[in-house]
Amino acid sequence: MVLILASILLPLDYSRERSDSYEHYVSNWEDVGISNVVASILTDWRAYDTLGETVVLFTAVYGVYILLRGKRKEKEGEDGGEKG
Amino acid sequence: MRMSSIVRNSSRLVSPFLVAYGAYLIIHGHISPGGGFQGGVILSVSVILLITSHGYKAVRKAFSVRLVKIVESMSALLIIMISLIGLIFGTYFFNFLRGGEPGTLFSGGTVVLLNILIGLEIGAAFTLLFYVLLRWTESD
Repeated sequence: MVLILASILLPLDYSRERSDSYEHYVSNWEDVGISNVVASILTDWRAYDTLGETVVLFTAVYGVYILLRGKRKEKEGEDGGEKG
Repeated sequence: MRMSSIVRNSSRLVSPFLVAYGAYLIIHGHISPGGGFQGGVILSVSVILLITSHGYKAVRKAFSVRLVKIVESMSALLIIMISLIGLIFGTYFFNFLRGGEPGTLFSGGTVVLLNILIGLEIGAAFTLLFYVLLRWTESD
């Protein structure tokens, strides 16, 4: 498996391709008025992605909550009310 | 098997400072390095520290699962609200609170609000995760 993948992936060209979004962020970061460029990218240029990240984390935690809620040890039967 | 009183008292002393540090990271996220995600994790660490030292049941009285769930879903809802309010002023997620010059606290506008809400949401998410995973090891 590893050999197959190696034969496929190694000959690929991994040189940095020029994406203009980097220059765009670096060149005019002032008009957002935030000195921390990383935070400005995270919450202002690409706030939609951050919204996606937050929702992904939200659903992940609620998935774990729903999955693991039912499995209680019998000893702890009495506070079943808290489950609701 | 309770923790010794030294551990309990010291963790009780340290966790408020952790909360302060997490809040600092969140609020000053757009000036100094930091931001919603890192600050939120530190907020949840302060609760987890209390759980490890004081045991699961004691901390659950203070931060009930219901409270953690409410905080998490409310902040997620507010983030979506802010993005929709931005819609009125123009494009989606429009930064309608454009503040002062870059260096100050209010320079970010919605970025500050977003950071705070993201921080709260992630803090509540990880504490909820810890509550759920800890529910079986009632070893306090």
